[in-house]
Amino acid sequence: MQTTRLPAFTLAITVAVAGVAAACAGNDSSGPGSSVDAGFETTTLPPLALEDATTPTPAVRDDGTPSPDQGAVESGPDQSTTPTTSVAGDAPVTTTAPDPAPAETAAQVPSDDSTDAPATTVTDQSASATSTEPADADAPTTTADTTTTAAPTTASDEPSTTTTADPTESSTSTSTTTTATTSTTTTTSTPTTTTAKTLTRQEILDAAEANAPLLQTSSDPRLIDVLDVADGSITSLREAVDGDRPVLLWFWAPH
Amino acid sequence: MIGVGAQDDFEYALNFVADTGTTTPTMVWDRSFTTWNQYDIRTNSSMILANGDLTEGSQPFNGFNSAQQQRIIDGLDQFS
Repeated sequence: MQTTRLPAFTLAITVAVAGVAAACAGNDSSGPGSSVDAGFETTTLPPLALEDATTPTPAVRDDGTPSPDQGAVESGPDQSTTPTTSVAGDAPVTTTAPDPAPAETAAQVPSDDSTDAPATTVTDQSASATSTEPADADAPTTTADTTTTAAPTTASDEPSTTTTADPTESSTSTSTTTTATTSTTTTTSTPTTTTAKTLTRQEILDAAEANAPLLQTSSDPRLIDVLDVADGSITSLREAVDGDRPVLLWFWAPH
Repeated sequence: MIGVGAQDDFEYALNFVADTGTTTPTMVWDRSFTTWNQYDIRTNSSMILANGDLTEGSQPFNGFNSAQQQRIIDGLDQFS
């Protein structure tokens, strides 16, 4: 039973295989075939896909559009600059290096190609992005060329530095003024206090000598005029005592 | 505390204050000796502890030498 059936299947399979083989042969010679071919060659496609994948990497620059891919990541406006990049695109070989080298090269080339309207547009944006610095008129031109990659960075660095310097200087001058005012105030207050208490020995003696004849006596010891040794002025024990606290009277003699 | 000086002259008093470094007490000088007499002070140096309005006080106490006197003067800063 089974033996009888096998041949039938075998024949059917054989026919099918033969047809497929013929189809395959025709596809190879004819080139891109039907979808059926693609299904069988799926195994073969991978290498092609690999080539395509490999190509793209360099192709990124070859396309000239590649820059849009990378350029888009870096900056949108650079797309207009893409043409400039196409020059650099010739050196796609330098996969990593391109950044620095192209930057300088592109900077000069584009300037020559300044005829490009987009370049002007880019320049405007770069200038505005730099912030309001009128002096950057020169920098913008250079920046416009290289723009996207390294140039912008350099351009932005310079202007930013300049901008920072300005505020710093102005703030410094302001702080200096404030400090000066403060010190003046302090100096003024200090001497005033000190001067009031400081008397020379001779000044004290002169005051005492002048006040001595004016001293008056009293039957109340608290009201007897005496001389204040601190300044030679006339005072009394009552005036010398302040408050209600007990007082220690110390009777002393110079000798 | 009030230091009541007498005897000699004001310049001596000034030198005494400077030499002893007395700065805390109010130092006055009475050339007439009237205050000393009113408080019955007979000895140099003497002290009296009086009330705030100087109407009542202790008997004069004295007998301390110059070194003790200096310690008293130095200790006055604690009450300033």
